[in-house]
Amino acid sequence: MRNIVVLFIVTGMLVMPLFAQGAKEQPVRTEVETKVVIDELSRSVAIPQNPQRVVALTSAVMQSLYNIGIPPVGKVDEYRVTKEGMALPSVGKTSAINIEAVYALNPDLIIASSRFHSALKEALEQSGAAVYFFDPDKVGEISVVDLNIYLGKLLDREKEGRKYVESIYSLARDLRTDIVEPLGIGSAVMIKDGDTITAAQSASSYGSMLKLLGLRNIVPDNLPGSGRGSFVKYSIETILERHPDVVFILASSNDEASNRAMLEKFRNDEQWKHYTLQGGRFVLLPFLANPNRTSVENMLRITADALKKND
Amino acid sequence: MKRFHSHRLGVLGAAAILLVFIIALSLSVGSVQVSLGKIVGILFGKKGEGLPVQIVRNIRLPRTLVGLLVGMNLAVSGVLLQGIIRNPMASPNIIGVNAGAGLAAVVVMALFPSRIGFIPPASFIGALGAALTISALANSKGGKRSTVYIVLAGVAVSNLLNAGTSALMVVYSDILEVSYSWLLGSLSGRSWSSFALIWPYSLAGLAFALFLSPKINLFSLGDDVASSVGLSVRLYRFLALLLAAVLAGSAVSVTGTIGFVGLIAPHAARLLVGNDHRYALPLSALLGAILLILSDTFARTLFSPVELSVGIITSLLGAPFFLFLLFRKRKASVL
Repeated sequence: MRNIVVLFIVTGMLVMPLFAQGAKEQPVRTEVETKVVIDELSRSVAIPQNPQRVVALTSAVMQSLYNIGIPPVGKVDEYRVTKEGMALPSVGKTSAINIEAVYALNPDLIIASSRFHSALKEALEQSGAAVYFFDPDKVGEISVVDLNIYLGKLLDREKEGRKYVESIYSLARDLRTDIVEPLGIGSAVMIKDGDTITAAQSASSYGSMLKLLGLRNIVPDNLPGSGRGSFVKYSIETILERHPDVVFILASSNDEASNRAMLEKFRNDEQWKHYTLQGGRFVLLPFLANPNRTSVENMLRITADALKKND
Repeated sequence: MKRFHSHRLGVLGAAAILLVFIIALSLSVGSVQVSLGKIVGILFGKKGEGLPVQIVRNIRLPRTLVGLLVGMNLAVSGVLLQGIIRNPMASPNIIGVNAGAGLAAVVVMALFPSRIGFIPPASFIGALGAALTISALANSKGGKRSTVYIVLAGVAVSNLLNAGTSALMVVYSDILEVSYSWLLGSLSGRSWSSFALIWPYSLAGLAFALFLSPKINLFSLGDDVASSVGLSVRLYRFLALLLAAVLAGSAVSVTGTIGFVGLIAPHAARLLVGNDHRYALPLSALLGAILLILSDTFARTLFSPVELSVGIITSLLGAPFFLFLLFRKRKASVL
C-alpha cells in the first residue's frame, strides 16, 4: 500500500510540470475582426480579416500564399520551391502532419486539404486557430493556377491572385506561340518512369502544364475508376492507338546519365516500337519540373524547353 | 485407386484446357479491338506490322506469358510451403518474400531514384535475404518445432521489414504513389524484358519442384515418421524453402507483390485432387496461372483504358471460387 502511495506521488510530481508547461504555452488571443465562410467540409469558419500567422499544410497552398503576398509561417517538408520557404520551421509532411509543430507556430489561420487532413480536424481546431479545409478538386479547372484566385478570394487578396494568374496565362501564351506551335505539336501524354504505365490526368500539376501549353492530353478527365486523381494506371494500347505527338517521361532523379539511359530504354522498348516507328517522340521532363520543387512559371518554361531541346 | 488416378489426371487436363482458353481470352481482349482470327494469324506465321500486330506480339503476349509464369511461381511456392510447414495458412508471405522484396524495392525508389532499373534484382535479393534469414532463425532452434519457428520467425521478420518499408514511405513521401503502386503489384507494362528475367527461374524452379513433390508428401506424416522412412527432413525442408523463395522472389521482382495467389491456388488444387503433391503441385501451378491471367484481363478491361491493380481482382475472383470449392467439399463429405 505504501508503495502505491509513493508511486502516485512520484507520478503526480512528474506529470504536474507537464500540465504547467502546457498551460504556459497556451496562446493568448486578442479579439480580431473575422469573416465567416463555409469551407469544403461544409463547416462555418471565422477567418481573421488580416491573418498574420498562416500555416499551410500543402506545398501548393504555401506557394500560392507567397504568390498573393501572405507569406506563411511554417512549411511542409515537401516544399522546395523558394529558399525563404525552405528556411521556415517544419510542420512535417503533408501526409504526416506534426500537430505539436503546428501548435508551436501559434497560427491564427491553418489551411488544410480535405483530401489529406480531414482526420486531423479536431486536433487542428484545438490549436485555437481558424482552420479552413479546401478541396483541391474544387479549386478550379487548372487547380495549380486557379488556387491563387481561390485563396485570394478567401483572404481578400483576389486582385493579387488574379494578377498572378494572368501572368501565368500570358507566359503560357508566349511559350505556345514561340515554341509549341512552331514544332507542330498538338497532343501529348505524361507518364512516370518505371514499368507500370502511369499517366498524368489534367487535374495534376503535370497535366496542367499540357493544358496551359495548349496540348491535348490524351488521358481524359474523370475516367471511371480514377476520378480526378493526379495519376492513373493507363492502358498502353490506348496510348498507342491515340498516338500522341509527344510522350513526356517524368524523370525520377537528377542523374543525367541514368535519365539518358531511361530515355533510350523507352525508345528501344519493343512495346513502344510502333509508336517510335510512326514518328512518335519521347521527351524527358527534367526532375526539377516538379510542383514541390519549382514554381508554376518555371514548370511551364522547363516543359516547353524540354520540347525545344528534343527537337 | 486407378479410378482416382484417372480422376486426378482428368482434373489436370481440364485445368490445362481452361488455361489455354484463358490465355486466348487474355490475348483477344483489351482497349483496342483485335479479332480472334487476326490474333491467330498474327501468332502463327503471318508477318507484318501495324498497330494490331504490335499490340498482340509485343504487349498482350509478353504480358500474358509473364502472368502465366508469375501465377505458377506464386502458386507452387505456396504449395511447397504449405507442404513442408504443414500449415494451411502458409503462403510466400510467411517466409518474408513480399516484405523483403517490398523493402528492397522501396529502398531503391527512395535512396537511389536514379537506379530505378535495379528494382527487380534488388527485390529478388530482398526476397531471398528475408527467406534465408527466417530459415536460419528457425533452424537455429532446430528440432521438432522448426515448422512452428518458421511461422513465428516469418511473422516477426516480415513485420520488422514492413515497418522499415512504412517508415521509408513516410520519410520519402515523394515516392509514396510509386511505392504503393509497386506494393499492390501489376502486370501493366510488363514486356519481353520482364519475361526474359523470370523464365529461367520458372523453368528450373518448376521442374525442381516437380522432382521434390514426392518428398513433400512425406512431410505430412510428421518429422519423426518422415525421418524414419529415410527422408532427410532438415535438408529437404531447406531445399523446399529455398525453392519457394526463389520462385516467389523472381515473381515479385517482376510484378511487385501480388497476394492471395500463393495461398488460394494450392488450397483449390488440394480440394480438387487431394493431398498428393505429385498432382496438387502441377494443378496449383495451372490454377495460379489461370487466376492471375484472368485477374489481369479483368484488371485491364473493367474500366478500360484505366487499369486496376491486379491484386484487387485476384482477391475478388479467388475468394468466392475458394469458398465455393470449400462449401462443395464439405457438402460432399457430409453426404
